[in-house]
Amino acid sequence: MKWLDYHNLLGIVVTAWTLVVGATGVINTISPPIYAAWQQGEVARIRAPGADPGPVSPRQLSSLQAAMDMALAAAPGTRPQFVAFPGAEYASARHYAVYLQGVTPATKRLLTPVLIDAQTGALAPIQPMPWILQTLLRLQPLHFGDYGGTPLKVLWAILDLFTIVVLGSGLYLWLGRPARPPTGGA
Amino acid sequence: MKSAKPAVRSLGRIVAVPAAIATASAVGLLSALTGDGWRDAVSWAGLLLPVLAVAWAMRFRRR
Repeated sequence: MKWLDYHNLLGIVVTAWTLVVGATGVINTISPPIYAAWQQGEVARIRAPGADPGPVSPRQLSSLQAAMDMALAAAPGTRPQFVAFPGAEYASARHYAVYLQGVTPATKRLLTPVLIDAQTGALAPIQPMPWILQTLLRLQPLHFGDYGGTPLKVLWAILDLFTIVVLGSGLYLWLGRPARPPTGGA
Repeated sequence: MKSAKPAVRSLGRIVAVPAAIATASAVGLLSALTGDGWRDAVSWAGLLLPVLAVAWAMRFRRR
């Protein structure tokens, strides 16, 4: 019963890991439409003409460095991901849009758009992502194991192999099972 | 090793070690997610435990 022992041993040992990877796989499948809806809403909000006093001339642009400093000060624990200039697709005609991401593996995928008036240099109110989307994005690395440095990735690969052995040995044991006696019973 | 029939153990004793391994794995998975440095080290230790358990079983408990 060597393979039964290995099947049971490895199954016990990888339980938590497989449950986490499986559950976050489900999360990754349901999060793209939620993310797309948030993104569309944000672009609509940023480009809304109502709040926009009109385009700003390139000669009148306020300091980009000041805009960046202000954005980083307004959202601690972040670093810049990209900056959209006034009139660009992800900005308004009037504002710099500084997109910030978190600094930890969990917050890396959280985007915070910060709008700064490109003429007056004034900071517009920040709207964080909805908490449900934040939660989904925070958990995403748990499916891929793309964090925690090389040792974590090596351990990830080993646990992956363990899971494969559990599945393979389970199939092997099932195919080689003794014939069921005609009277039935376990 | 033991005779063919293993001694009867309480449910708590049977579940304790698997639960500890599962907890260590979960802590390890979440630790590195929240930052780098020592959090990575905690993560490696937590996920090394299930691997070490298998190595130990293969080395000392193999029948």
